[in-house]
Amino acid sequence: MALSSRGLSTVLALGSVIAAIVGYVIGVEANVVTGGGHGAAAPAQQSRTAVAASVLLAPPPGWQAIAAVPVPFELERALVFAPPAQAQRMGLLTGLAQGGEATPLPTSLLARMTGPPQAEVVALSQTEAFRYSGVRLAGYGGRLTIYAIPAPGGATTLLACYAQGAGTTLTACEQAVATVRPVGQAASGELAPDPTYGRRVSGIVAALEHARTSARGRMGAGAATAVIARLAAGLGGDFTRAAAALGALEPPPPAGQAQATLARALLAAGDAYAGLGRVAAAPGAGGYGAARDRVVRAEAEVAAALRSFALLGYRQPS
Amino acid sequence: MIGARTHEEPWSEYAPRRLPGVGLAAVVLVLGAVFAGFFALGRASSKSSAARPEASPPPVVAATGAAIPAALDAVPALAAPAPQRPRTQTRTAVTPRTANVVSARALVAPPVTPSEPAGATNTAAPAQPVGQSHGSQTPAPEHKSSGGGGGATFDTSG
Repeated sequence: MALSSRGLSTVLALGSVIAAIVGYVIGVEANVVTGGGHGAAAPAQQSRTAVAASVLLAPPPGWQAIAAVPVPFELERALVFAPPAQAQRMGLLTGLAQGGEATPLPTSLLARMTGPPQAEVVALSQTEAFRYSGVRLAGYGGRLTIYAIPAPGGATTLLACYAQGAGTTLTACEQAVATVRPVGQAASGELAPDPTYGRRVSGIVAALEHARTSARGRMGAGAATAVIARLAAGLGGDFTRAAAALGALEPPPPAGQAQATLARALLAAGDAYAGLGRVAAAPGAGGYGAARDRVVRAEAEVAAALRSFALLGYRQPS
Repeated sequence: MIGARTHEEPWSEYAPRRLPGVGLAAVVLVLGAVFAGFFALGRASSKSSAARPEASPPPVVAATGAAIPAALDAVPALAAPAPQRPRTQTRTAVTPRTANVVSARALVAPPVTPSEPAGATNTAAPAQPVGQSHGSQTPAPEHKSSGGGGGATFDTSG
């Protein structure tokens, strides 16, 4: 009885030690499965940094740099960080886009979007960035969040977190983006929308819209040619004056290109309306259809320019 | 003495009293194993946030009150081009001016005879009016031009 008790206690003790080891290992492995494969990374991997495009960042532990780009849009100096053998499912795409456009996102990328993303300004470790979440691209069915760090007078750094398929998440990628530090270029500065500037632009656009909706309501089907001529000429002046008023504003740096684009679009629309007025005033001269189409195209450009402000974080007025 | 007594006493005397302690230790170890598992699970799950100070999604920079319309308001389509009107009225307005048009053409390109080249007109009598260069013809002073400009010089009616 005594010997069996001693043996029992020994077995219990050894079993407990083994159970502790097994429990620890099971706990670690369970987290590896649920956490996307980066939970058991070595401390050396956690502190590593990498240079991508024009920024310094700390990729998620265990992620590797690969050259292939699984997301259907092109960037200069593109580099992808992804878990081993999972680059098609989730990862972080980095690269550069040419600056000088109305929005931080390149036009080629905007053309592939099937809907407007949600735009916000976020704070990274040493700079600010625009974040576009809920991005939907033609030809890509996964989740996509794009960060854009514009540099004054230079290229824009883009970081895209992508994930598709069950069990994937953008969290690890977004945590890595939070560590981004600009390298070899000036920081983006303050990107947050300026409320005062927003109110002034909104006021100019609202006054123009008041005149436009009133006039266009009388320029529809059945309107006399003489009435169309008079109203179109008036709208031409309204658009031109709106462009002048907009040009008198001093935009915050992130909105400089957007304002210039909107001013050009307003001027073009003013010219288009003035042309429509001239054509309508001379019914026998012809060219009314072409002038009308020119107005439609010019107003589409104005609308596109206004959408640029939405991509800079300016909300729709309530 | 105590040590000697310990060596002398058989295990059978101590075993019943040590068993509860050993059992307690075993239970503690088992519980420790369970807690070790949970500890490992929790430590690994929070490893990224514990290891890096920035290990969280980037926070949003607060910006309120900045609003700009994102599109133009919807408006009715512009009126379609007016249908082409019959041009009968226009033709009646043009027809009476035919004589004037012909008169103007005659002024620009006066008819010349085969014996008199066009270039000779300029050298025949530069100091005299063109209408008087032929001598036998006399101008019609009472004729009034009606828009052709110079129609009094060349009478195209007869």
